[in-house]
Amino acid sequence: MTEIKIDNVAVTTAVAEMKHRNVAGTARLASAHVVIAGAGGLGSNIAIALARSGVGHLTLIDFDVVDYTNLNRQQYKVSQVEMPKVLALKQNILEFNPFITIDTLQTRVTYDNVVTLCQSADVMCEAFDNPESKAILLQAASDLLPDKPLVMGNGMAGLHSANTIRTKQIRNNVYICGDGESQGVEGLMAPRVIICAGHQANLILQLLVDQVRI
Amino acid sequence: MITVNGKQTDNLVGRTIRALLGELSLEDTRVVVERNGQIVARDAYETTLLVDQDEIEVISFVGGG
Repeated sequence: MTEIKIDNVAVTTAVAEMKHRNVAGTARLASAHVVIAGAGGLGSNIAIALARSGVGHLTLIDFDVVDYTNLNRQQYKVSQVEMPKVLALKQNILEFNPFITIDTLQTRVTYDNVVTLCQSADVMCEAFDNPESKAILLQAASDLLPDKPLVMGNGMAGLHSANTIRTKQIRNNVYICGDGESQGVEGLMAPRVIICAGHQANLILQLLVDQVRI
Repeated sequence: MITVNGKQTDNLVGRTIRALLGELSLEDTRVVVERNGQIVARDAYETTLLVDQDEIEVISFVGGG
């Protein structure tokens, strides 16, 4: 058998090393499915963190396209402006983890389609920008999918202390990350958005491997 | 006595969820309200009367993400 090499590294070695994870016990992430509702500052960063961690199946949902004003905090590039966010994000993720399945839905999440969109997920992740959508998703998930874990973001704007962003369990299956009060209208800066996204992604990984420690 | 987000108050008995949100200066569309562990449907805010011993949790969302 001929050995195929990329930059002098055997392809089989490259693949094995790209699949390497640092934390023991996380192999089961490969069979996990997470639905991420919203692909803005939170959603794009959460999706990338989960993909790098080896979550095997992501569903990305967002109705919007990439805009120049997104580039201060969302994981897109100038070359992707005007592309649907879900397609741009899938493209970016597959460049550093080609071993996962990514479904994309360019649509709005409403009370009426939450079950269809989320019922096959192990964990639902809320990553919207607007508070009305956050409230509707919590209402719908609580009414219609009460047994499915939901991880939400709430309050990460501005340049306040990084340490005020926390993960809280508010109910059996509902977790909210954020400071709970810093509103988008004061301006969103990459670091606190990324911190909140990190809280959400970390909790999702814990949920998927049954090791929740808040 | 009614408990709202862990704080006790006695001036809301007999008033509606809508009135409670007004007292808290919160908009209906940005909150989810739990009454004694059950989510209250949004279209019931106007008709749900608070009774003595109710435990209310108001989960309030801000923009940004």
